[in-house]
Amino acid sequence: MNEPAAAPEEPGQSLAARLALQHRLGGLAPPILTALLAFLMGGLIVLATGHNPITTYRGIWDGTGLGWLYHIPWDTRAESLAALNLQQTLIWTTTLTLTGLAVAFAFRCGLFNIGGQGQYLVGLIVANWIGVSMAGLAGPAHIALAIVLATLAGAAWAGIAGLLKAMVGAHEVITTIMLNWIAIYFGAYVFGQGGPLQGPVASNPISGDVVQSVRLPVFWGDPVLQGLHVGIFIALGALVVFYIVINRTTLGYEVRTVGFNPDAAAYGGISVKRNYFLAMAISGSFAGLAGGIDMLGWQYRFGTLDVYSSSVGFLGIAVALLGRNTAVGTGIAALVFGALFYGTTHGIDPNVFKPELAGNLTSMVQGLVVLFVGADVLILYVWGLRRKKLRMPRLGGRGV
Amino acid sequence: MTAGAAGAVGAGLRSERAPVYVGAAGIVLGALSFWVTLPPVTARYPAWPIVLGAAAAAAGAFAAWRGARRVGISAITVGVLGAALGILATHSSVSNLVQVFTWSSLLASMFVFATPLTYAAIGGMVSERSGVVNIGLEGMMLMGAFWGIYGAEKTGSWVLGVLIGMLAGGLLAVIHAYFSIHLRADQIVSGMGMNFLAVGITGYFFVQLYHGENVGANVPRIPDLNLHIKDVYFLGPTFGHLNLMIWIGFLVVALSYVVVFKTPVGLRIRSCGEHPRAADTVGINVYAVRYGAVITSGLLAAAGGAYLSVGFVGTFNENMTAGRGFIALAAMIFGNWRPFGAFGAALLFGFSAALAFKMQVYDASLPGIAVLINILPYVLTLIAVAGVIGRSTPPAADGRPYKKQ
Amino acid sequence: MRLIRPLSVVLVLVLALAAAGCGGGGGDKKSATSTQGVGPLRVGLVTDTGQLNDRGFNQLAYQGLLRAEKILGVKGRVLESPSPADYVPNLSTLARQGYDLVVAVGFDQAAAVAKAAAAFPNTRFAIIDVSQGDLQDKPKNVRGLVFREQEAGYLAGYAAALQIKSTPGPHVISTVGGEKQPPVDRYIAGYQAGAKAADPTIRLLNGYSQDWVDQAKCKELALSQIAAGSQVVFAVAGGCGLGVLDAAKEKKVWAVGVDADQGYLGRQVLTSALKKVDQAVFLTIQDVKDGTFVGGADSVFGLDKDGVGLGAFSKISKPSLPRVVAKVRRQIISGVIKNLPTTVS
Repeated sequence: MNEPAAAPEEPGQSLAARLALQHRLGGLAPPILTALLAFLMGGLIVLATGHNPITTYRGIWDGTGLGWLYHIPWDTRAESLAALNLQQTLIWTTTLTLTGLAVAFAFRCGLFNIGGQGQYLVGLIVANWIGVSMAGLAGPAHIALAIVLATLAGAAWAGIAGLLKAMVGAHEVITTIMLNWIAIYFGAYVFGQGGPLQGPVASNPISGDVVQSVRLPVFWGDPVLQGLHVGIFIALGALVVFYIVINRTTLGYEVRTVGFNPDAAAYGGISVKRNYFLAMAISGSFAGLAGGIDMLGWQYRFGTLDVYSSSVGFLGIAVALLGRNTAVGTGIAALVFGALFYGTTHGIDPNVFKPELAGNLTSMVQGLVVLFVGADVLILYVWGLRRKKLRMPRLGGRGV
Repeated sequence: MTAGAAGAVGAGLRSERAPVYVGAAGIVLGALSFWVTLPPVTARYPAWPIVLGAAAAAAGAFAAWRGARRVGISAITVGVLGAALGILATHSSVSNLVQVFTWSSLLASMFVFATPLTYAAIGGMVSERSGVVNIGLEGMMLMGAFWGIYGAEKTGSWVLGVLIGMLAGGLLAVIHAYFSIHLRADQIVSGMGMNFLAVGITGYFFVQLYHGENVGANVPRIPDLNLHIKDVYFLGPTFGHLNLMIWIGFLVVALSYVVVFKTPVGLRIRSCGEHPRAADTVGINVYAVRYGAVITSGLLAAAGGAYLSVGFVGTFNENMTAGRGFIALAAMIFGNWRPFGAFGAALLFGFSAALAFKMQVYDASLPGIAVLINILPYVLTLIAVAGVIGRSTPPAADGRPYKKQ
Repeated sequence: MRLIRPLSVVLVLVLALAAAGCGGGGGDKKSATSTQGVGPLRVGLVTDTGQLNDRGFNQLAYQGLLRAEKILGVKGRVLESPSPADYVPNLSTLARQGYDLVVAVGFDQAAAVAKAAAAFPNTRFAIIDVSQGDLQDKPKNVRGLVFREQEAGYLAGYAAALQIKSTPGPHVISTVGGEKQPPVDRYIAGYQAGAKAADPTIRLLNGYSQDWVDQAKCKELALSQIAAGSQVVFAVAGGCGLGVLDAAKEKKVWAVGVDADQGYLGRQVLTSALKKVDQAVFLTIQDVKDGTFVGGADSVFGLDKDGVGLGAFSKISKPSLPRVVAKVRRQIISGVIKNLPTTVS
């Protein structure tokens, strides 16, 4: 009896294809609705535990400093507080833009880069090393060197996963998760007591400070108290670079094609393996850049505790998914999550709502966003209704 | 005489099975290269681990060259690692080594660390054998840790506490199952969502209910199983006072082997994971089987988390599991999706974690570097998935949503 | 049609939230009403990464603040620092808002306080566990609150050695530190010296968990020390140290608590080495209120000023302990016992 060869089960659409489809179908509505739905559910939990969701969200809003944008001239102390909050929010937005782009670029190629955290750390470590040790260099050269090497470090770290995927088909989710933890423990070693990058105080597991001349200039706010640094322009530039590379270069075309359907791409003559490697490497370079900018822009030093508690790489996943892996979307999603993250953990007035509770609210919203986007929940709903109404054929063949 | 002996050895080396034996010998040599530097032997010259490690690597290279790739590469790896660790050990003082390598205490530590991994890895194996990838093990473990201790504190019974913890993990698994199976969401994305959700939910309610402080001074704890073998050399201190959950963990491993590989239920699970279309045609309800498997993985991972809080620590800390769920994932992969393999991997990773911690603590002459031992599980898994030591084969339909026709 | 209803609900909610955000002017209403100068004193507290749930250090400082609120009528605010990156922002937030005194808890915040003090020269700062002279540029608006932990440690070590003196076999005691930092090492050095004074043959074990929060780590460490024979384990690791107390309970050996009186956690807690951070904070706030606060120097708290001490003894400890320990205490205060070590070899 001729047993049918163990034909692979109908694979369904790749994640990249699904997200691209969402983007074409729904435009701006699904991301907004997804975010709102997530906030709504968060608000329900707040309500269920005896707090007022309206004042809570208003407290978070105040904490983000976004209110500064419609200027409150009559309350100078509040205005400066809102300005300070907004500066911090934008600092986080800078980081999240880049880590979001890292995840987004890989997604475009059909790869899930969960390793943003590790790539970020590696970039940060390298930037700290260059920033502390090569004190003699002139400012701009020093900054450039640190940032370029940080970017390359992130690219190399992700490149390991890309190489493994290309050469032996190792699942990038597994390899990037492993690399994450290797980077974390490496960071703990390097900045720990007795580690090679540990600072001058022997009992503190914290790195040395990067020298004054390598720090990115602050253009808004007080430099001593973490004002907004020029890294935000680099992040905006990265958004542009992302857009151009993905949409206007051959590489981007190949990456997208592989993302939609690797078999069709191979049939069309595109080297799938080469693109897997390149996509991961470029993806990692964004995350490494984020680490470099953070180190030179406002961290200036990093400790073992910081290594363990940092989570911007993971927030980047939510950012990319909410932004549907597009340049504009990632930028806006980064602002949303940057505001949410800062507003809940630092900016919020503790008398309104505890920052510890609010910070966990951010994690919940993050989880819900990731979940809803992953399941195209709203797209299925919207498309299902439009289809019924207009009697259109089913979506994507057997997909839905 | 010598010519004859050399001839015999040469003939032996050219035989079929020789490479495997040589490779196995290499693995033993590699392990020896580390072991000789430890108490009770405590060799102090780095020459010892270097020579033994080199011999191991040579044996491994020979074996690999002659076709026994798996054994050969393993021997090289063990040789290099063993030599490196051996050299590290020679730099440490003898008293420190004695303190770190009190074997009974080290092994007891190993079990403590390995048990949550075991539960979660077995759970992950069940889920993936049915075809659903579950990287939300970390989140489910965390839910079990928090709600387990919450339940134990509220009900005054550790049994109910563990059950409540398992229920919480199961609920999270139901969400993951619904999104992955019914909505055919990307399973990895859904799993990551679980992890974020769990961090948020447990952290939120920890602050809300306990103000982020200790859960209570007298929470009922999972008891130890006290065997009366205290005076039995080595076995006594190691196995005499292990927690009940650790013993149950051994049972879970054995049970999972029996169920998944020796019963019709297990056959159904595995067929859904290898070829769901065929399973469907034979009348198996793929959806139901997958739901059951995912929920089981949630229950088990949460049980592992409950052990951590109700069994070992006695309270909850935010993000208590600290990546153990991902190590469990690594253990499952490293163990090639088989129960005893996953268990062995969990023990290995538990050992390396226990070792890393002890070395960090006791070794002032190697400050900081001991923390790097923690990367061992992850590096080993990378090597495993790189297919260097044989193929790493997940179930064929793992991660692919199934659509009933 | 079916879509309209849920969408409109969402839309209404969005508008409601937007209205809530826009209306009311936003900003910190409290700071608008309470102007500088007149009105109650405002005191801010910045915790270190151990945060408020460490049942010791940070919580004590917070209690000092609460007591000042009740008795002196000041208005307090606490900012917790989940990670070291939060120190400077927290300190600056309080300084910016014109707080009359900003208290930083812990050795980890030294660099941050130096920065903030330089940026806000008109704000008064106090830092616990750091000498003002050790700060960069020795800012004149900072007062260091330092403690002689070695004195409390000495008493605890003496009591521990006495407690186990009559047990058969070798006598071993141990310590679990959070990180190898001067305040931690002062406790340990004193503990070891006190134990040796009571029992010269005693063996000492020591280890650092490298963590202030994860109780599993400290428990592991304590368990291995107990497996190596330790009969009294002294926890100097903040919240993580609670794991040590748990290990002692499990293995039925003694434990010694730290900073606050942790005797209520169980009868295995022989005593606790107290560091009256709450008292120090309260007194400093009182100084500010009375106008006698002087920056650029330190306040040193030892046994003599009741700045450190020993907590109550466990109900099942030797009845002779309180009397003997009280005598040693008098000897330290009077200077008969002197030159207690402050570093661990």
